[in-house]
Amino acid sequence: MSLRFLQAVALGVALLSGCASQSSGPGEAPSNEAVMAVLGTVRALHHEADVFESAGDFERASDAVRRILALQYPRNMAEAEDLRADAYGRLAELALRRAAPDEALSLADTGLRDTHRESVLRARLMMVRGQSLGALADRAHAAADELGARRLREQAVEALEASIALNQRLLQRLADGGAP
Amino acid sequence: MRRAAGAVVAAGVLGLGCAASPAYRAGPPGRSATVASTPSEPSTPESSAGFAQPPSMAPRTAPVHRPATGVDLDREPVQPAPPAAQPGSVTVQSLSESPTSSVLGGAAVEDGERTVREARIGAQVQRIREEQIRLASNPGICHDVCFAAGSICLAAQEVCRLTGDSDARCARARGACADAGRQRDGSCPVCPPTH
Repeated sequence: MSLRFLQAVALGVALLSGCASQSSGPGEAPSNEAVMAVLGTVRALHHEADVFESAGDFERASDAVRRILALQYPRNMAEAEDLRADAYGRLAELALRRAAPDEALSLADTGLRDTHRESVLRARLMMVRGQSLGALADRAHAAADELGARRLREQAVEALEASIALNQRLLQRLADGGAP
Repeated sequence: MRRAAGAVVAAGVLGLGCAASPAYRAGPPGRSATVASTPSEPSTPESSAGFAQPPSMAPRTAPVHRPATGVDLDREPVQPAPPAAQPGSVTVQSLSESPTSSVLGGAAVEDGERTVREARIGAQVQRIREEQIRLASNPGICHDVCFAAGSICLAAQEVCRLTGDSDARCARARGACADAGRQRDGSCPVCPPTH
């Protein structure tokens, strides 16, 4: 198991150097090793972000997550969309924690454009979008822009309700025995 | 095989990112243990003003290392179903073995009915436990269930903060949070660890 993991990490380095797109042809599933390598790399980068985040260094934690988005994923890798959605969601949350709601909103919107499958990760992006809009509404309120605050608040609640509705559908699907 | 292995690892990797999210850390009310990937994280915002928590809301326990199956070690272990746990056979057997079955009169009938009822309830409970075990043994499913339920409650909290507690949209969001918590509790005995 550990040997396999080391192999995966070694291959991950190769992938990072730009070999990934050559590992499979059009329509062909990427090799097991290539997938494992990417997953191992993503896992390591999330751990790195954990370390920085737990130390309160949100900037460097964000850097680690950005490297996940910069990875070159093997062509036709089914997990790639979820990995990116997860990274966008975490990055947006980190931006919120850095009190940067504009950036968080932009990241959430980019993540939503990048992912199409109904999933908990998409619902999370919707939620972060709502949280970002809520924070922007607070900012507008503090600046005595009541009209802007009201508009942003409404958009925030809509995004949050959309997130709730999606998660409810997913929970129902899971309860029915299907995949989310 | 390759896809299955990839999916399992992908679930684990995705778990890492999700676990860092407040949605997974927070979870809906009533959770006894979830995994916190950032221990120094401030307390979850569920207890903040503006979002009344159900009475079952308990403080989170510290992160606990658990087996990959996600079985809650703190809970009473669930015993496998005895061979006679099928509803029909249990009912018939219980009736035939009832010490009061040979007694004529209303008391005997009542005892018999009670036995049948208890056997049916027992079978239902057994089925629920088996379903819980099935879901708990699939960390991917329980991860999604826990994450979705946690996200719903976090979103509800924000809705209530923005609209005010007395708003109908807040009430609806709170209801969704409570429903999600019940659904999660019914499906997954414990949220699986992510690393």
